[in-house]
Amino acid sequence: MARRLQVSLSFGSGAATNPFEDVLNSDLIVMWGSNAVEAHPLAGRRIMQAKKKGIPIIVLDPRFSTSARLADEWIRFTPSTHIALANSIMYWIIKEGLQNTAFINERTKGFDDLKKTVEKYADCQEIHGVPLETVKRFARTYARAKNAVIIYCLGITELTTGTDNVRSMGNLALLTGNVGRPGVGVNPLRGQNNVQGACDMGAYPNVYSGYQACSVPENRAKMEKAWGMPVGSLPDWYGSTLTEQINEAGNPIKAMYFMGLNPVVSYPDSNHVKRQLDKLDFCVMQDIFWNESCDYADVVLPGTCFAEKDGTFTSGERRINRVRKAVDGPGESKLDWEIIALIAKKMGLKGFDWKNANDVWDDMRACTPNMFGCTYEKLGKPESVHWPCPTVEHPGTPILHIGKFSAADGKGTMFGLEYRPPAEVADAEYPFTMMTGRLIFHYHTRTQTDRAAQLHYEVPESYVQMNTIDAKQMGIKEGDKVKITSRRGETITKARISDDVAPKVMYMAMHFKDGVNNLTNTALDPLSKMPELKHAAVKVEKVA
Amino acid sequence: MAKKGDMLYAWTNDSALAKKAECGGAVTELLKYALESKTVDAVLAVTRGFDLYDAVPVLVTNPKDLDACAGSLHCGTLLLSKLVMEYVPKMAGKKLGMVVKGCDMMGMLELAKRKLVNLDDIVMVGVNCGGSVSPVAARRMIKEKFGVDPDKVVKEEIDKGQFIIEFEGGHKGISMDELEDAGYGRRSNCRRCKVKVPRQADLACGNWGVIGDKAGKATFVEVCSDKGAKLLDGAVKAKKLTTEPANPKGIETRAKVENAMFKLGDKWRKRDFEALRSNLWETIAKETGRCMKCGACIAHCPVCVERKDKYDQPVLMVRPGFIPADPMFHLRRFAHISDSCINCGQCEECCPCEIPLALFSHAIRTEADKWYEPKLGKSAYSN
Repeated sequence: MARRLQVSLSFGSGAATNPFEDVLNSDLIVMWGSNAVEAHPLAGRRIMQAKKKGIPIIVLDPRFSTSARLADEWIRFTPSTHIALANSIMYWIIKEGLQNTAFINERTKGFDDLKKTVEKYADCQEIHGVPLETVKRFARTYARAKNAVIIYCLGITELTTGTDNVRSMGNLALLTGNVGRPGVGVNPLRGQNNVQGACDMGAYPNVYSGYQACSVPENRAKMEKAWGMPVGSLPDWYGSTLTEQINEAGNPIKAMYFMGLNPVVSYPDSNHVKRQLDKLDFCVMQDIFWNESCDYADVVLPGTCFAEKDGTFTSGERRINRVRKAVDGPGESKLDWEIIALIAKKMGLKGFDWKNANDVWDDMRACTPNMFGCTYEKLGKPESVHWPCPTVEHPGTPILHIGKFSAADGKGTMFGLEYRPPAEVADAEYPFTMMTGRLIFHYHTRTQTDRAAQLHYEVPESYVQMNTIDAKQMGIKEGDKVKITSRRGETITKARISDDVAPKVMYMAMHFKDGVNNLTNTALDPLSKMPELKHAAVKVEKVA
Repeated sequence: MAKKGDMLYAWTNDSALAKKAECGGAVTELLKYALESKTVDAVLAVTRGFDLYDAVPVLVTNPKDLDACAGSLHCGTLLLSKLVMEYVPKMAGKKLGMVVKGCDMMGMLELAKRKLVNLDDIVMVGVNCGGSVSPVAARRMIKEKFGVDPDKVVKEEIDKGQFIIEFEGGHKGISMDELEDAGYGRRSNCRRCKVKVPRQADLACGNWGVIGDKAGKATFVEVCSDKGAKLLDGAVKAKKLTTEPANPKGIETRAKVENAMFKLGDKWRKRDFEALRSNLWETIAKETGRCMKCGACIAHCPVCVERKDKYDQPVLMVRPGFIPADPMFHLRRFAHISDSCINCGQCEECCPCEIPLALFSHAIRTEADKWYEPKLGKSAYSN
């Protein structure tokens, strides 16, 4: 959710600038903190097509990920040092005069601030771990590419420096003029297939659908009218983000209603999450299966899965894809919007008399200017529509920021940003850095995927990747049981030993119950409120 | 009385259906009759889904519902045989009618060889097929090469070496050669296919060879089995269908069209297979090196039937959870289907990693067929 805010600071709008397929028009694909081949197989498919077409791919990742294996070049850097590395790269771009001066002058502001800041980062291998020559080579390759695209993901955002990491990606693109035409851009990949859609619907504390700010009186007045509410009844203040809500469970939050979420497994510091959920007076879980968090619920409502309902999924490329019902849901399950409407009616609320998913969509569309033109009829076509699409005649906007950025002054902003270490770094007591990520074989908390025999067979349980040297020093062999401990909790798992991770660095996938999220840190990015899921200090010991 | 080997023109006596269906509507009428006469309990056919590019398989038990399946759809890339296999346990002695193109038919014959379907319970009405185009590729081709909005197209067909579209305000045809040399056109497995008339079905129907005053108004029917002859006779006797012997010149035309398709198939085989000649291992290693082990190539393959106890087998060469897949993940599949790959293209069509799997398997099978006796016995078809 938080990524929207992050990139919006650079470009004035927070979604992917270009469609996934557009990587095929690129001359260089840079994947930074993204293992799209595993975590985003459909975006990954376009990367595969690009590779087949011969478009060079460079992956920057602390780990030799599957995407790194398929790339033409893999650049390893020290975990969570993105800003230092990006600054270093930009220093050499500017030093060698490879920046796009015409673009900078015409379409951006903040260059001087950036230039001044990056001067301190000429050579900072001791921070990011990338040899100077590699930094220089990457700087030249990226700056000289006719059209270069950056794809980034949670490796960039799930850190206390997430906002600044994303702005660093924006800096790189603006400095080299890689925004606003085919084959370029800065494209975040979202956590799940419909994170974009959830954000677009206003699943934030501070905006209504289509990112209409709650702080704007006209927006509140419009929504009060649309929802049949008394004038002045919508608050001009806004509440907490999801991570903050977990912290506030019990005080002041008394009741929570979760839909399709399993925070006991997916949120940082599982022990903390469990303690907090216990404090609620009333907890509702709505899901298609009984998940681990349902144990903390007072009421569990059976929703329906993708094949059992009509609706839309909006992908990270802002394309609204129709999903069509193929079969009826089992047992007492109900369509998710139907459950909400039934509860609303019981509460005596008006405006929930929808007959089908199309009605729900049109209800939203009527008060959402940037999606008003996205009718179900238009969404029915395979190409569908990319928002913004303000009128029914409008063709949609596959590529953002052509000619002008979305910010009020139409300019893209470059920021001088200083490197900051993560909230918790390895020390004598907890000498290893634990990173997290995802596997292709499981989706999120395995509520769905572990029920598939083939997927369970491929990865039935959690494991930790650790470096050969560390394993040797500690007498740990492939498959050995190990206990990993952080300041917040512990987990027992199996060791997988290779050089895919650097010495003193470890990696675990986030899918498993009582797994790595027993260890992860709840420290938040100050702006986006994104927790630092990607970086925690841990210690490891062999279990006899 | 019709008999195996007969070549006929046939058309429906239902004028409403004749208007809606293609070339006389004999296929739809035969299947309707099969249901009405209780020759079969259900018919598996294909209908138009959201638009012209969306082909959806449907199981029909009410003869009237078959009208919605009339007409051809070249942008569907379905294979019906594995679908049948999965539902066989539920069929429990019931009889099924099917519309089959070459690959559907070959898939059914391969499943029958493995005793996974019983062809005694199945009536196959074959349709000739010049190949299919993937829906996304078709829309792009129509937009970019024909300069027509794909949503304005009301009908498409592949005829006389051309891909022809009818749209609001006109029609346009472009030669397949031109389209395919420019990277558009049929799926690559279809280009190499040489089972254009499914003669191992019970009846083989289509428009190729219908000439003279019957052109566009009748369906060419080749009677391929006694079962097929019986169905045809029954439909005629019930006054659903009219037949006449095929025009001898039409039979020649039919052979010419088929031969032209064979030549095109040979051209593509030469082009595709020779390109692999000197660097086969490297190409297979490079292409399969992108595999994410999604399993779609296995799930959709009509000749890949997995062991129920596969997950209990010892792991030696294909490590669970490791990607890109260890090489044996692919080699064992290539080996398994080496004498049975029907080149239906499903493995390649459904691969999210863009691996040309059908190309490799088809090359292996055609080369092996030239040299060895297949372990499952010779097939009734040759592709």
